[in-house]
Amino acid sequence: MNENRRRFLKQLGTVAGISLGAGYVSLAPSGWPLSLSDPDGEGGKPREKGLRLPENGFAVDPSNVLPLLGVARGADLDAMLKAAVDAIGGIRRFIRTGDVVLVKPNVAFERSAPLGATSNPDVVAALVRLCREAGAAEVRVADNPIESPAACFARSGVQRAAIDAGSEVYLPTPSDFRLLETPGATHIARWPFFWRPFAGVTKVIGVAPVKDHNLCRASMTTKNWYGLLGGRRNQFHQDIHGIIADLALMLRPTFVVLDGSRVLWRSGPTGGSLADVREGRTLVASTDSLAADAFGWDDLLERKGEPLPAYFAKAAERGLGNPDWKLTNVREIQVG
Amino acid sequence: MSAAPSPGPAHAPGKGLALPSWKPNLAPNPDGSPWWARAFRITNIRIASQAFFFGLFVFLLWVTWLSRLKGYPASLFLEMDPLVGFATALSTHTVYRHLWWGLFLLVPTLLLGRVFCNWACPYGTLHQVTGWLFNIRSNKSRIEKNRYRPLFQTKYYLLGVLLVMAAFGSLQIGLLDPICLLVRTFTVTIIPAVDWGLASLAAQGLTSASSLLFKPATPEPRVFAGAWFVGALILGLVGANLFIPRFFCRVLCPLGAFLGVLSRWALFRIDRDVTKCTDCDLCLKGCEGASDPQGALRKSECFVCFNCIDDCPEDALTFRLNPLPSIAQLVKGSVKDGTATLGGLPVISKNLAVEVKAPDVPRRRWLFTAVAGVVAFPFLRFSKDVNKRGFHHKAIRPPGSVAEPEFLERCIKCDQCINVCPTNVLQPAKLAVAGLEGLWTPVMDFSVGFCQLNCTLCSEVCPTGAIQKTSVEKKLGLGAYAEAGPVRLGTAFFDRGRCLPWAMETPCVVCEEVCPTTPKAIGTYDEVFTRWDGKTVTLNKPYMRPELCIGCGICQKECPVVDDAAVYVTAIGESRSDDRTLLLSGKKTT
Amino acid sequence: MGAASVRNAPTGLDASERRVLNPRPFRVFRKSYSVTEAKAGAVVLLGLVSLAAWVVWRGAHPDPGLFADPAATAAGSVAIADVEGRRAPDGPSVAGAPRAELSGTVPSGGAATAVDRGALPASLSAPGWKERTVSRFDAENLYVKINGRADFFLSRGFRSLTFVTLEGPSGTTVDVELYDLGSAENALGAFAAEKPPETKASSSGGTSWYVARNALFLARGESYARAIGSDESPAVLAQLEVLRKAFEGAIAAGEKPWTVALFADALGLPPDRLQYTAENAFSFGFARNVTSATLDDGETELFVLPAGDEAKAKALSAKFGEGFLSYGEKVEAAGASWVKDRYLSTFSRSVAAETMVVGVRGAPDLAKGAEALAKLEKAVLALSPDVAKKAAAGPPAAAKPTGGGYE
Repeated sequence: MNENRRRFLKQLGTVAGISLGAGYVSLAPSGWPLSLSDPDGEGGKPREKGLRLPENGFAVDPSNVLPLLGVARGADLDAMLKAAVDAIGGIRRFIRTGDVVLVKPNVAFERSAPLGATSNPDVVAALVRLCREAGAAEVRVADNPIESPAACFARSGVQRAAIDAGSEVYLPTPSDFRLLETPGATHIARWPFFWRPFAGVTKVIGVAPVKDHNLCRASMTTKNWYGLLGGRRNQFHQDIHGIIADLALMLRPTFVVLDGSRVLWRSGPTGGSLADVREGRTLVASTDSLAADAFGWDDLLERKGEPLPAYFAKAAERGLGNPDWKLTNVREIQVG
Repeated sequence: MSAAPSPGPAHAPGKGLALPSWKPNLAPNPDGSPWWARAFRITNIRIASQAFFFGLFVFLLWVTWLSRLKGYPASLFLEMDPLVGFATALSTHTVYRHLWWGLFLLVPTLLLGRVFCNWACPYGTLHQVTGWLFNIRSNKSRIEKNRYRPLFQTKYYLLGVLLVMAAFGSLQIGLLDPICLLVRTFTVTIIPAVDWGLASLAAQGLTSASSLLFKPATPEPRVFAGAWFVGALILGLVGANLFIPRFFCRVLCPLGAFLGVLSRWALFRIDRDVTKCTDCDLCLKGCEGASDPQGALRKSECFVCFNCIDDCPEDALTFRLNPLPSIAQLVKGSVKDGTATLGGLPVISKNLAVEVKAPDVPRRRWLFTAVAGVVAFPFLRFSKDVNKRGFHHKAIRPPGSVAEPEFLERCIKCDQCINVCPTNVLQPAKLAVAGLEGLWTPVMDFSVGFCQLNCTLCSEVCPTGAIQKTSVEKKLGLGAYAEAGPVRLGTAFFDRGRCLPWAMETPCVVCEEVCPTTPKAIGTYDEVFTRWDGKTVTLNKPYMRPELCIGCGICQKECPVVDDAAVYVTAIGESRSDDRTLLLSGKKTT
Repeated sequence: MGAASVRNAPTGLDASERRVLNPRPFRVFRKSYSVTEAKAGAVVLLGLVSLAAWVVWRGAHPDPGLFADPAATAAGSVAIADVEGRRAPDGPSVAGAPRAELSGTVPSGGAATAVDRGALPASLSAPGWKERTVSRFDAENLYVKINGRADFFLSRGFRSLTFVTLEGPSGTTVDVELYDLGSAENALGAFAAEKPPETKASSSGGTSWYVARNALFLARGESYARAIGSDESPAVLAQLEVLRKAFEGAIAAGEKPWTVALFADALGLPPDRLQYTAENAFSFGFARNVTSATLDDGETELFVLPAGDEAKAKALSAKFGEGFLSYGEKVEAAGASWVKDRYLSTFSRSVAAETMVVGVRGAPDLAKGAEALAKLEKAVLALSPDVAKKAAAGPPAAAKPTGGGYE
C-alpha cells in the first residue's frame, strides 16, 4: 500500500506541477521571469536590437595645421599613394601598431579594372601594404556588391590584389548582416548592415574610384559606403541624395582615398566601354569625404562650374564635411 | 425494463396514423435506486453535454458575423484548445491573449483523462453521431471493431512531427487539429451549403428561414477557393467512421494524442473489478476510444464516455480515483487453476492487467518522429513561396497580420477570419500562392471582394495573433497612429492596356470613385477627347498615388474589366514587412 | 434486439441490416444505477449552464473599439491641390484628333484679369447690379463649367462660352451664359431644342427669345444666350429685360438664315418652331441638314433639305419615299404617291424641288397635307439659286454629329 500511496502522491504531484506550471506561464504578468503571457500581442513581435558604430565613427583627431586634402599626381601608384597620405600627416597619424583596419573598396560590378567601374586593384593593394607597414595587425577588405560577390571580386582583380598584399577578403553571406542604428538618418535610421568585417575593427579606410553616375551625377568617396548596406537597397533611388547624406552620417572613416587613376567620365556607374574611361593619374587622400568629392567633381570629372549634386549641400548641412575644397588646406604633389 | 424497440406507427384501420404511446417510466429501478438515477445516468448527461457543446459551437460560428458578433467569444473553442495554446507557445514563445483558456481543458484532462474527446469536442460528436446513425452492425461485430489496433499509434507520430516543427517556427497543427479542421470545414463548405438551403426555403415562401442564415445580407453567395478539397476531405474523414468507428479521433487526431499523452497522469480511470468481470467483452460494444476496458485499460485512448459502465452486466466497471495500478502482486493463488483470490473474493476474470498508462509508442518511434520533424522544417521553409525573395505577389494577408515568418509561426489555418470577413475577400490560400506551409491560410482575393475600410473583425477573431488585434484607429492611421500611418495591405497598379479611358477611348472612373482613402489614392488626368467615331467624351485617366494607397482592393473589385481587372493590387508596399515596402518613405506599421 | 432475424433468401440480409438508419434501441446492460453518478451529472449540468450564461454575458459586453466610428477620431486630412488640366508624365496619350490650344482660363472664384469678353455686350448691368468676373471656355474645358450639358452644345457647332455672374440687391444674382455656336442655324437649333414645346417665343428683328419665370433664353445671329436668375423678384426680371436689350443692341443679327426666310416669311410659321437636325433626321441615316417645322395642327411636319444638285435631289427624295414606306403602304392620290403610316394613319410624301428636297410628314388629312406640300414646294422654288447653293454647303463651322454622348 505504501508503494501505491507513493505512486499516487507522485502522480498527484506531477498533475499539480504541470497545472501550476502551465498556469504560471500563461497567466503571470508579462514582466515576470519565464512568463509567456502576451495579452495584446506586443510581446510576440520580433524587435531586433540594432547595433551602433562608435560615437565618432573611426575618425582620428582633426588637425588645424595639417592639410585636409593631399593630391598626388603621377604614374607610380605606390609612390603616389604614399605621397598623398604623407601630405595629410603620414600613415602613422592614422594607423597604429596593432590596429585592425578595414579597407572598403568599390567592387560593385563585375567589370575588369580598365573599365573604371571598380576600384583600381593596384591602389587597393598599395593601401593594404601601406597599412601593414604602419604596423596594422590585420587588414580586411570587404564590400557587398550589387552583382554576384565572388564574380565581382574576381573579375575586378581586387580579390587577387588584396590577398597578395596580405589582407583578408570578406565576401557577404546571409548571416553576416545585422541591423544598424544610425540616429538622425532620414531613411536608414535602422538598416541591415554588413557587420561581420566590422567585428573588432578600429580603423576604416574607404577607397573609391571617380565615376559618373546617371542618377546622382557622381559616385565617389561618400557614396562608397552604400556597399556596406544590405536589405532593400533598390529603394534608395527614390531619394538618392538624401541617402548619400545619410551614408555620410552613418560612417565617419579614418580617411578616404579618392582613386583618380582612372576616371569613368560617362555612362556611369557601370560604364562598359573603354571609351568611357580616361586616365586620371591622380590619387587624393583626405579626412573629409565631401572635400575630396568636390575636388574630384571639379578637377577629375572636369565639371568645375557646374553646380554640385544635391548631396553635397545635404551632408554639409549636417556638418559632415566641407565641399569648398579650395578654401581648405590642400597640398598637391607631383610624383615622378 | 422492457427491451423491445418502440414499434413504428401503427395503422389501425379506419383510424389513420396512431402514434406509439410512450409514458415516462418513473418506477424505481430493479436494484432499488430511484428512477432519476437511470434517467440522469452519466451517459445521458454526457449526451446532453455533447449536444450542448455542439450547439454552442454552431452558435458561435453563427454569431461570427458583423451584425451579430457584439462581444461573443466567437473563437472560444479554438482558444480553449490546449494544443493550439501549447504549439503556439512553442513557436512564438508567448501565450497570446485568450489562449490561457486552454487551461480549462488542460486541468480536467490531467485529472480525469480525455474527457474532452467525448464530452465537448464537436468534431468527435460529429463522428460519433455519424457512426451511430449509419453503422448497422451486430453487437459481436461492434465488439470486434472497438478493439485497440496498433494503427492508433499514428496520431502520436503526427503529434511529434507537428510539435517539433512548431518548435522550429512552422506551425502546422492546424492541418489536423479537430477544432481548426471543423471551423475551416464549416466556413468553407457547410455554412455556404446551409445558407444555400435556407435561401432556397426562403425563396419558396418560408421567409423566416432567412433570419437563420449564417451570413445574412450578402448580395452574392459566398465562394471559397479550394472548397471542393475541404469538402471531399470532410466527407472522407466522416465516411471513414463506417469502417473504423471514430476513425479520425483514434488514428489521426493530434489533439487527442496530446491529451492522451497528458492522460498518463490522470488521477481517475475506469477500473475493472477482476472479482466480478466474466471476460464477456460486452464493454467493448460501446467503447468509443477503443481503449480495451475489458483488459488493461489504455488511459491514453480512453475517451471517458462511460458506455462501458452502462454495458457491463456484472457492474464490474467503475470510474474511480486512483485505483490500484497493478493488482497482480495482490492476487493470491493462481488464475489458471481458478483458485485466485483478491482481498478474500474469488477472481473470476482470466485477465489481471488493469491499466496501461502511457501511449503505446516505443521510444525509438518517438525519436524517429522527432527527427522527421527536424528535417521537415527546412524542407518546407526553403520553398520560394514563403521567403522574402520570390514571395507570391498575390499573397496579400489580412490587415493587422504580422510579417510572413511570424505569420507562419502563428496561423493555425482555422479560417475564422475567412468566416467573419463581411466581403468574402479572404480566401484559403492554395499551394501555388503560399506553399504547403501556407495552405489554407488567409489571403485576399480582390476579384471576389475587397477589404472594408472600417472593419477589423478578422483581427478580433484570430485566436493566435497571426492577425494582431487591431483597432479601427490603428488600421486607418488616425489619432495616436497618425505618424505611423495606416495599415497597408499592398499597392494598386494600373494596367493601362486594359483600362477603358487609357486604351479604349471610353469614359470610366469607377476606381477613383470608390477609392475610400482621404485624400484619394487615385487621381485622374482629365481631358476632353474626340473618339474614333466622332463623339466627344471626357476621359478621366487614372493614376496611382502610392503614398496614399492602402491596398484595400475595392478598385480592383469594382473595375468593370472583371475577368482581369485593369487595376489590381499586389503585395508590394504592405506595411507589415520590412522587405516588402515599395517606397523608401514607407514605414513598417506592425 | 429481441426479435428473431428473418432471413430473406434473395438478398441475404436480415431485417435489422436492411434498415436505413440505425437508432440503436436504448438498451443498457448494467444492473445497478448510481446516485453518485446522477449527482455528479447535476454538477456537470450546472457547469454547462454557467458556461452558457458566461457566453451570453460576454455577448452583451462588446469591445467598444471594435465598432468605433473613425470619423470621431479622424485628424484633418491633407487636401490635394489638383491642378486642372494635368497631363500624364509620359505626355499626351491621345492618338489622332488634333486638339485646339487651350484658349480660355480656368474659372476660379478669384481674379481673372483682362479676359476677352467675346460677344458679351460691354454694359450688362441694370442699375443696382454689378458684374463679377468674366470667364471664357472653349471646347476643351467646356465640361468644367457645365459638365453634363457640354455635349448638347458641342454637337451644335460650339465655339466658345462667355460666362459672367451679375450681383444684384439683397443677394440676388443672374448667371449669364453666352454661347457662340458658329451659325444662325445652330443658334436657332439650340434655342428651339431647349424651348419647351408649349412655350411661345417672341421673334422680331432677328432675335428669338422668351422668358420662363426666372430665366431668359435668346438666340440672335450666331449666339445663343441663357440668363438664369436666383429668383423671380422684380429686380431680377428687370435685369433680364436689360440683358435682352443689351444683347439685341450688341450682337450682330447676321444674315437671316434661308430656313427662317422660308418657313417664317414665306410660310408664316413662327421661327421658334424650326428644328434643325444635322444628321439622322427622322431616324433616316441619309437625312442630313434637315430643317423642319410643325404646322399649327401640331402634327403635320414640313421639312426641307438642300441636296446640292437636281440629280441628287431626285435620288434623295426617292430615298425618303422608301424610308416612309417602311412604316406604311403606298396610297395614290391625285397622281401623286403618298405613304400612309400603318400605325398612325398619317400621310407622308417627299419630292425634289430643283436642288432641294421637300416633303410633308405625318399629315393627318391627305388633302391638307397635299396643300401644305404644294405651298412649300412653291416657296422653295421661289428661293434664289445661290441661296440653294449656299444652303447645300451646310452651315458654317459644321456641327458635330448629334447623338447621345456618354454622360
